[in-house]
Amino acid sequence: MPSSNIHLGYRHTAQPFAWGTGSGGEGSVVGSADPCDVTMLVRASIHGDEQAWNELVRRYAGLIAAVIRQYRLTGADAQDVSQFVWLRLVEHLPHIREPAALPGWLVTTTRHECQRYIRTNRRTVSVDPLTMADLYATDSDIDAALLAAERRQVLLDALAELPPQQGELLILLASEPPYSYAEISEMLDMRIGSIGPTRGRAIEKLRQTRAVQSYLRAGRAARTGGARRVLAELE
Amino acid sequence: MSSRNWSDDDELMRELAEALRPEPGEQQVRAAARGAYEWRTADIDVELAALLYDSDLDQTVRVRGPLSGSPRILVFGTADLRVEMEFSESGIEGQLIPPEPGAVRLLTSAGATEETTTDELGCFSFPPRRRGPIRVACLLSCGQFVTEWVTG
Repeated sequence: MPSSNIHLGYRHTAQPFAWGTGSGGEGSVVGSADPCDVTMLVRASIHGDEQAWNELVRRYAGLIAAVIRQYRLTGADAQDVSQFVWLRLVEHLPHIREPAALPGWLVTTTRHECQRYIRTNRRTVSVDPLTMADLYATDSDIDAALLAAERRQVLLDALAELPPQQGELLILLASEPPYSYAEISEMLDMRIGSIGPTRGRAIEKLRQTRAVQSYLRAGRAARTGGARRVLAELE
Repeated sequence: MSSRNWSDDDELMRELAEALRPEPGEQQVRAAARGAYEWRTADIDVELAALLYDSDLDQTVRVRGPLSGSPRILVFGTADLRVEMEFSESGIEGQLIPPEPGAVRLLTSAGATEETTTDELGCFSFPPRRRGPIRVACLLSCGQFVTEWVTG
């Protein structure tokens, strides 16, 4: 059943995450889904909005998990690393100058802690010898995986920035197996003829989101350079 | 680096479809965030002492460091104070530089605390600790400081 794949973004934010709860219109369940970007979430978290913090956690847990997975840490080891990363994030929220760079910060922080953790707990961490070989020999694989994880996060963040109907349409179109236009038409109450054009506009809007734009601005060259620097530290 | 081109609609949609698949281990990472927000430093009078040096991350030490069983050295600092700490199997030895009389607390992420006081050289110590992130808070006459989180 394809709908089980929809686990993303504002579908959740639409319900528990209500901005300015005290002020204004109540009741409109779908319409009140304010798309929001990372900058807003970070600011609200700094100012004590625990809902915003929970949304950050919900949004970025996958990214941190992806990094930890690259280092094959599981169980209590994975628990230790992720707890550390969250604590660091709470502590650093007020110092984050460019919230859109948060995915990159999380990747780097998690990665460093995984590397350090494995090094210091070399005897106790249950890492198989093959993995250790991976860690020291083929960092470029890990590097590629981490960049992919960051790109994944950028797209998820971008999706959450879209107006609800456009975001929902893209989620339905990206589902496996895909929904038919007829099904989508019924679910979103949209004419079949306008699905194609709306898809096009939504994709274009996705490219213009703050998440995608700041990722592209940061530039591939800079990223690769940064990754190399991290690599060099390991050697 | 993925070779996907985001300026192509279909390629972007394919990458989006992949992004929407759940990440294994995500639930566990989410669960680990429980309680973290309560550590938000709401008190602006408490200054954060940043990690300045970590022997675990020092290349010159790393070659031999962890294998030879040498202790881990950490240095934290603010504009006015440094906190040097040595982690070993026998516990934590620390020193405030310059020496300051006051109370030092070891905080764990679970909320447990141990407290001690500095001697005339600014030294303090804690017994060996359990696993998991910790930080040290200093309550001194010149102010309050708390170090960044570290894990042993």
